[in-house]
Amino acid sequence: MSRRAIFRFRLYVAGEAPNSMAAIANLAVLCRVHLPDRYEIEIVDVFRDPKRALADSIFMTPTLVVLTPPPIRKIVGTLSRTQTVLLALGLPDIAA
Amino acid sequence: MKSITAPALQGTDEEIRTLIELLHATGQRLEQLTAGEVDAVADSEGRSFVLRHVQERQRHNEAAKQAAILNALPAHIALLDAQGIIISVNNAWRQFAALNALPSPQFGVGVNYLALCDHARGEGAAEAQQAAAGIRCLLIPGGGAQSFSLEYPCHSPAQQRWFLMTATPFADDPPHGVVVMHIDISERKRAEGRILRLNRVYAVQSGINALIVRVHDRDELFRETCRIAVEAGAFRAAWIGVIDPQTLDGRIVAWHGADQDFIRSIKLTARGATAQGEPPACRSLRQGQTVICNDIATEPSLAPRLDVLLQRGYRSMGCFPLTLAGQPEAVIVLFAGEPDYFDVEEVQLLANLAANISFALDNLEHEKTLNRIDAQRQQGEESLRRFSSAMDATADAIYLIDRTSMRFIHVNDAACRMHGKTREELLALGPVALLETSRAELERTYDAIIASGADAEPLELLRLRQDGSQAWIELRRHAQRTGERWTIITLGRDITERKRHEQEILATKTRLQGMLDAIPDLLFELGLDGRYYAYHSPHQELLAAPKEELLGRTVGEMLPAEAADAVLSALREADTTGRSAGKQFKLALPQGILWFELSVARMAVVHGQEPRFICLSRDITERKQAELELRENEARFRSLINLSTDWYWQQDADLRFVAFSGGDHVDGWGKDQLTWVGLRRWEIPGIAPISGTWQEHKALLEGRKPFRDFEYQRLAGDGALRFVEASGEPIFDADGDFAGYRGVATDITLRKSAEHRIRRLNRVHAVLSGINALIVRVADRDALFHEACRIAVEDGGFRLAWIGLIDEAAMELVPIAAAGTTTDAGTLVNQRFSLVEETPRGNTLSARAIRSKEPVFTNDVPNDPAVVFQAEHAQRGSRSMAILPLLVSGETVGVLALYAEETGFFDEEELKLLTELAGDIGFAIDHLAKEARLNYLAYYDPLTGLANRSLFLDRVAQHLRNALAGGHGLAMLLIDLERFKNINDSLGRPAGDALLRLVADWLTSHVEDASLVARVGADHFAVVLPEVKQDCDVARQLELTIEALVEHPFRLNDAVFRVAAKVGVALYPEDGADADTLFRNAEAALKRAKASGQRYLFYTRTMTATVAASLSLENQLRQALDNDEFVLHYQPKVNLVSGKLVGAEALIRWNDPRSGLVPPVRFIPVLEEIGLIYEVGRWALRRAIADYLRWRAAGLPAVRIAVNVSPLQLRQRGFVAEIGQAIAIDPQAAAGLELEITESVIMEDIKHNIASLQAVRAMGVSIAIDDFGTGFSSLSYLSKLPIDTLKIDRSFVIDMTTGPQGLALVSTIIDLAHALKLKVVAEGVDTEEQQRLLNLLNCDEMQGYLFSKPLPAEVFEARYLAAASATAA
Repeated sequence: MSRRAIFRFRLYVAGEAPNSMAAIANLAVLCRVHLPDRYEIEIVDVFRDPKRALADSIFMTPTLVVLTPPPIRKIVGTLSRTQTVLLALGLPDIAA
Repeated sequence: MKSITAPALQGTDEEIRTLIELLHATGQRLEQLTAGEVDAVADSEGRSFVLRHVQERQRHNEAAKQAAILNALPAHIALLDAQGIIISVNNAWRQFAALNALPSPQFGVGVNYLALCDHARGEGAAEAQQAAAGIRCLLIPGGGAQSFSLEYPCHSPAQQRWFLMTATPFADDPPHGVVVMHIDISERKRAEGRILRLNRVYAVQSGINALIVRVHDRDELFRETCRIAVEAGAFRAAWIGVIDPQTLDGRIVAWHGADQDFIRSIKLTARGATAQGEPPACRSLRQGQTVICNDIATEPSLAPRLDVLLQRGYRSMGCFPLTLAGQPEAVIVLFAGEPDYFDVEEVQLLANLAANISFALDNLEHEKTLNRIDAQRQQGEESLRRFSSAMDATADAIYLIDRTSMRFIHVNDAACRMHGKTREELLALGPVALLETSRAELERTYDAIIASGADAEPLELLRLRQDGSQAWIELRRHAQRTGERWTIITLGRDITERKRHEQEILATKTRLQGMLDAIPDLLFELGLDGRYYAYHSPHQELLAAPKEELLGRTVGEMLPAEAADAVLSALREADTTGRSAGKQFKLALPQGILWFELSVARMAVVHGQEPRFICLSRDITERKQAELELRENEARFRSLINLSTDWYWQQDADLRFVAFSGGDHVDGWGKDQLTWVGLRRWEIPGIAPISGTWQEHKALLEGRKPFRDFEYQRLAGDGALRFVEASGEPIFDADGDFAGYRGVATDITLRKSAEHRIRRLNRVHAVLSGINALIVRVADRDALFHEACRIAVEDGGFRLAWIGLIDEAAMELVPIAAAGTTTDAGTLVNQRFSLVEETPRGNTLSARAIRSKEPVFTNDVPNDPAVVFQAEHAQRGSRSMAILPLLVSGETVGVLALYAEETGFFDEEELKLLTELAGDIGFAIDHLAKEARLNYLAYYDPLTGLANRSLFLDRVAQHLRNALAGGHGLAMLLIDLERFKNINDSLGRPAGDALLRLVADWLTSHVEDASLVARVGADHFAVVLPEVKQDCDVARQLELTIEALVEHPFRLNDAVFRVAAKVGVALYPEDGADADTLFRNAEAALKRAKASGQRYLFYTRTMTATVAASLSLENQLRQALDNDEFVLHYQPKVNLVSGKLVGAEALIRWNDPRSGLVPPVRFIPVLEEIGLIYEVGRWALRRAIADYLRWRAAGLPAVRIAVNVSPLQLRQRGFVAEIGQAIAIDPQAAAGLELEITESVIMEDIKHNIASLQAVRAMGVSIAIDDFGTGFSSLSYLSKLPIDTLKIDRSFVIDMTTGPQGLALVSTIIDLAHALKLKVVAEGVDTEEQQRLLNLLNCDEMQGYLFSKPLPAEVFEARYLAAASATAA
């Protein structure tokens, strides 16, 4: 996996529900710390755009979809376990 | 997510229930599955539903957020439901309610707030009910009010507080509740209040300012001020009181807002505090200061009237002074309804206001004068109306206007003239046209005049005259009622002139003021008596007192006498002549003492008035100071020049002298100086530089440098050589060019000659001291003379010096020694001078000196006929000579001749010194002669050849003189050769003498000067160190010397001896100032050294006592023998077994008449030391024998007496002979004598002692060895000793009882003694135990306190001998 690849994330949230808020925050921190200058985040509110959630087959929120680099991965939850998330992203285990 | 299959339905309810259960279960499961991290799930249609637990969390969060917000707000917030019940409150609400147990807001969730408000009572009830009503409006469905708010006060006793209550309905419709907020707006309210108050003050201010402009008299001003204060300013009340400057009493002249009773109750005075204090208003009036009382209730001085004040609601008061011409004239007092009303801003504004009013008062004063004339005129106007003809006579234009018609009723001639129109024309014109205004306008004006009932303000109009010139017209109008119509009377005056005049005056005043302000001087207007009437000048700091204090007082009161006199005299002069200028005086001001110069002019006299004077006072301090400095400088300069030897000189740019000043009175200068004008310094005749060359000096002048102390000499007109010291500095003109030199010069001739003299005297002193030192040392007369001459020439700088002695037989003077810078010295010595009077040579100076026995001198050899060999002397360059006679015992024995190079060398002082010198030499001669004549022995020790004690002390005396003159110290050493006596005794006299000689030689060579050493005793040497700088020098030398002495092997007849020495040292000046004292003290030091074991000791004062004591002891002991003060005590010895008396030990005691019986340990050592031991020992021996014989003769059973023998005695050569002599007196004597000798003594010289003891024993005297066991006995010799008894030392006896060893020891000794066939005596037996043990050990005899202590002869005799005999008998 090339280190120079840009990560594109799409995070589905349920309005201002607490877990969703937490997920947004955690994702932002993770990107800032581990992927400086190579990430893009899109937030989708399922209450506002229910169709999109359906289109993307999202059943639970918050859910993080990793669009690039391939393959596409889905991670459900608040993203608070940074190591797990990094692993899921295929990033080397960087000491937090 | 796959859909969950639903179970079969059993009806709607069933369905619903199942659904709910399913949902419930699903929810729970989902929660478990997602670990609570999922917020929402979506169904198949994509609709998302928030999970229940998340919903709950959200709700909870929201609630928390809301609560946080509510709590964060600074307001007290309560949420009410639609019924008005409190559903929640925030913290602030709780706190507020807790702090203030106030009826209106009570905390308490569940309480119906609206009901509370409805039922509110007391203060705030109205507001509460209002609030309830308002809130209800909000709750009306269908959109009632949007919000409702209400302000209400909520004062606590401590402070005033305001609150704002707002109520806002919830956002739904109908609102389900209301948010009620109470916000503390006290600050805002207070700020608002402040602004309101300030606005009021501003309103007052502007009202009063408007008033000031139009007011005409003081009373109106005051009245209106009070009114405006109350109405516009919203003060409760205002009053103004004025003060009568004479009585200091005040009265209230205007008030508003207060009732008469109150006003009457006020007592206003400026006299000062009464017993109750000074009310603020009085104080303000008296001091002219603003006085504020922000809480009347607490002002002590108002306490008596407090209820009067509080009744009317007066809570604060401000008193502001009003001044007229700067003096407190009145006070305005304002009352406010609240306490703390007057804050800083307010007070400032009101103070300004008061100042404005004061200004207005001042203006009114000025206007009064103007108005007087106006008033007069106005009066005229009144009567004018009645006398229309008179109207025409006036110069003023008069118009009468009918208000109704607005037309002229009448105009007078003057009016016509003024307008250049005929009466008809004017009447036709009418006032409206004339004034070029509109009718309506004019009507309004006239109505106003009518309405006001007072005179309108005068109107000033500018009109063009017919001739085109401008004219100012002043119109004064007055309304008069005639029946039903009003008539306006207008007076018109051409005030062009006045206006111009006014403008001119103003311009002049401004110009004048500008001029005055520009003048740095003080301008006063004074009366002839010196009274201050006015002061014009902005400079307050130069006044003797503040301006306010000056005005009205006289200079006599305000200035010190001297200054006042100056001013008054200037005033008088100005009064007489019109002006005075130049008078000066000084004044002590805070910044220092300042000088002023007066210019006074009399002002133009106004009729009837006292003359006034304008007085200009200029600060001339700087000028004065400069003057004084200049005078001082001049004085100093002059005094400098006038010093006796100083003068001032000046040279031009060519360095030629141009002027001298001050040198007239200097000897030899005055006339000469005149001749130097025009010369350069080096051109002066007879001049020669001393400090440097002319070249160097000229170079310095070229360089335009200043110079100091340039010395030169010149031959004065009278032939004398004069010395000068000059100093100078270059002068530069205004352009900086060199303009010459100037400076001062001093005649230093006297100084120079003084310097010479001192140098000469120093030389003479050098000679004197050299020769004195010489005299002491020298032993040879001729050597003395040679040295003396040498010293005179070398140290004294004489050209030639010689000494000659008289050969009486040949009546000739024989030069013995000479010294000089020429070789003639040698030839001189071979000369002889005849002293026979008649011969020409008999009249020489020498001859004269010899005959007269006085110094003879000439200070001018070349010209003195009495000098022999004049030519020779002149050749040698001797210009002065002196012949000093040398006297011995009053007779001249010779002369000392000295020749000096300079003339005038021998002056009084010198001759005195030289006479002294001659005396010293005479003394030396005498001394030397005496020395040679005297008996050798008297001064010398024949044995060693050293000086003896007398000579030594003489010499020391001489050295002391030198030490005194030379300012240095001196040391005397006394050296004692230790145990020399012993050596003498053992080796015999000749050997001892030889040793002494050796020691003497050694000392002499060590000290290197025989004259410093002396033999002052048998084995005592003395050395003097004539020049001692530091005591440690002596010590060091001593140590070295003693060490050397001790080490030195003295060879004598193949034997090598080493001596030891003890030294006592006495120092001058510490230890004495004359030879005898020093010697005595050196002796004392020596004694101490010997006693102490130290090699040498310095004498110190503290020694005196001890030494004196021991010395005296010595003396006492010497006397003791002569005075029979010694006695023998006898201690009995007894047989241990039988207890019988077998013997007695004789012990010497000294019966000191001073202190009683002295034990031997105290005096025996001294006896040994002073050598008295032999005599005392001999005495003891004889005494014991005598006693023995006496007892025997008396028939008593006399026992053998044991006498102690000291080691010294034993060593004595004649010891045996002595014993023999002692017992020779009686054949029985030997049997009564035993000698006790200590073990150590015997063993010292065993061989010799054995012989002696044998001899003694052979005589029949028995011998006992004393203190046995304490010495080092040689056992081999012990058996050979001719002894009979062995005495065990007391220490062993004591030890017997302490342990087995002690016992064993004693036992052994006893056995040993017995083995040697010796009797054993135990000494110091004090206890019975000891006796018992000794008995057991077979000791023979004992002696000790157990039996008896030593007893005097009589007692011993009586107790033991008599008794024994009795018993025997």
